Amino acid sequence: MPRVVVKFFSVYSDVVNNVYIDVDEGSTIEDLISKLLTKYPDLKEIFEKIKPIILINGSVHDSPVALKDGDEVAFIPPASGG
Amino acid sequence: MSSSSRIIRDKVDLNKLVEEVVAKSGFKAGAVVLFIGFVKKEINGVEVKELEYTVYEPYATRKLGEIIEEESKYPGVSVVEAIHRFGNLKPGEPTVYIAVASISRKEAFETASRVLERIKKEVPIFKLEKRVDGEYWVIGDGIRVSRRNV
Repeated sequence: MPRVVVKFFSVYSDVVNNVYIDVDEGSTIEDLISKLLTKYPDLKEIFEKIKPIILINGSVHDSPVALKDGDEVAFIPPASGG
Repeated sequence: MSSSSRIIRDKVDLNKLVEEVVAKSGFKAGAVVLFIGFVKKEINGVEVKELEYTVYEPYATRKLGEIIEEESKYPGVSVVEAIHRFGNLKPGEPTVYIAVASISRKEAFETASRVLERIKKEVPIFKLEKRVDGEYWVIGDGIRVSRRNV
């Protein structure tokens, strides 16, 4: 069963920080989000309020990809540097 | 000529930064524009105690490097340097430095402005505004979400 590390930044980190999540073989980001919302229901409201940008190993993927063991998934809001 | 970027905790020596940029241009630059962003003491009439910058590494450094590499190819531009700070910064402290050396002033002003806008939008750096009335996550270029409401 693949294990991915999930990192939450900024406003999302108030709900949960970094966690390891076991996902089924062939799971996509959508499957991961379902798991996260079940485990951390407070994420739902904040995801609806501020839609997250989701990075897999630092890159945005426009089409669904299967998560692999060791992948790093990050939930980030629009950046606010400067 | 080599452009570069860094994300660091400490302040930067401005004279050294400008001297390095001019030297890297091979002394061919006719203009250097230096932009420095600062922590403001007041937002919407409310006192700011400090800003806390968090960075998603190594991707923030990578993205900043990509921006600098792309922008340094702009015609007439010799060198682009960008340095962003992280950690807890008080009002009056610098947050970001952008130095652009170019053949003439127009390219330097335009490129510095473009680099700043790209940094603000593209580099995964996040700001927590600690004010006298509470703490607010800054989302994008202006939305603020109170930590108390989460």
